[in-house]
Amino acid sequence: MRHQALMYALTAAAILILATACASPPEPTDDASPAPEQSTNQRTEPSAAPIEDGDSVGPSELPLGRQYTIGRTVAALLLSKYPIYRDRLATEYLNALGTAIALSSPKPILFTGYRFAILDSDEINAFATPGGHIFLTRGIISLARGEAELAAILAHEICHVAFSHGLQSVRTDALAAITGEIGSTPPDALSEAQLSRLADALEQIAADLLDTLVGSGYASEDDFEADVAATRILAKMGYDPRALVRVLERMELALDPDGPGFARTHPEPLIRRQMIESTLQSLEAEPSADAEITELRFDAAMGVL
Amino acid sequence: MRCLLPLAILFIVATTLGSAESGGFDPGDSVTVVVRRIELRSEPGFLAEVVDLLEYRSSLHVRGSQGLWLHVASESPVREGWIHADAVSSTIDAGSPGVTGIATAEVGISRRVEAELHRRTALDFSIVDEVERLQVDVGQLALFLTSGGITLGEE
Repeated sequence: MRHQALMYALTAAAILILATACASPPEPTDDASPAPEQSTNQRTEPSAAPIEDGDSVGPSELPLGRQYTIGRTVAALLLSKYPIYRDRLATEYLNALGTAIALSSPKPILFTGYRFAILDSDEINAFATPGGHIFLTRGIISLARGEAELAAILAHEICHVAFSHGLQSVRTDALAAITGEIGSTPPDALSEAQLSRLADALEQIAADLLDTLVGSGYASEDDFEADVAATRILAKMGYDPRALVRVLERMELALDPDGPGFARTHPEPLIRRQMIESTLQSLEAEPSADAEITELRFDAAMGVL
Repeated sequence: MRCLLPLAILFIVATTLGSAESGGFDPGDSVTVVVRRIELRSEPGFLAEVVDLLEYRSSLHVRGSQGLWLHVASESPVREGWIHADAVSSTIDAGSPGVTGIATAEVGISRRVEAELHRRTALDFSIVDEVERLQVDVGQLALFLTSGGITLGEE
């Protein structure tokens, strides 16, 4: 019986790989652009009412598309600092797992959905852009012992996007600049001067965000909020909700307190683990994940790292 | 009259809660797609069969709701199905010149600004395009979930 399940998993994994390999790539994205993002409770298109230059705009008021535009710029900046790690199987596996988690998150819908990629760095770090680009370094992936723990890391990053944590570090007048400037002007009608001001604003916002992601880090309460939400997602999906605690324990041993990466941008793992404990006590569901199969496919995809 | 008051309060509370759960939309509302592309599904849920793809700014009419999913009908061609409430917003006055401008601006602005940023800083957006090229479809996702014994914990 167990053997049959294992064979099914291996077949399924093979089909998944083949199916993904054969899947047609999405159409060229001439219109790769923005649209409005909003909190799950806000259903009125934020860009519907033109925002005047100089108005303050909060993260939840920023259209999904503008968040996507910002996210692409931040992603391009990150990818200019960290080379991408191109392993097809590992990347496809990461995207299958990440998509499942994103659809289980408080914010399953983004302008073009979530995307996941591996950065070729030993540094222990992970990044999320407002556009749903999630990057994990090889270093942080190597801390995960199995699918549930990798899911925990991904869920934490997805929750930063879901709660607009990154955008909260950007000045509201800068956000208003990119909305007000183009709010009522078709792109083809933008003058060179308007385009230049728009690029200035976008550059500034992306630099602010990058500083948060790579330099100063999120506010501690944002990390705690992401940890708690991630733990709940793990439980809802059928993973062991203690997976995040286990990763944090391992991180505690691996991190150099004075080094780059998580040590500089995140609260101490010990404090984070303590914050998660109360959430764990309220979760009753037994994990449904098939440990043998999930570990097997995790090893097959991520073993090369 | 006095006995009608609790009933009225109950009605108001019930309708408010119902609207909040469905994203604040009610049957008869007109809504607009605010994401680049979204699947219209045969029933509520991210694993349901896809019956159509709706593009950014598609107009829809709300027929009903279930949790965070809306039962909607598109105008042309006429199609019915379910869509997640986060993918739409209330339709605004389409006759407003400002609104028309925004609709156009949403589609084309990114590439033009990115070209300007590339000119200034040599930022390479083609690597971002590469990251975005990989998509997971419903069949792959369902297989991944079932083989691993996990489920979508939809809100």
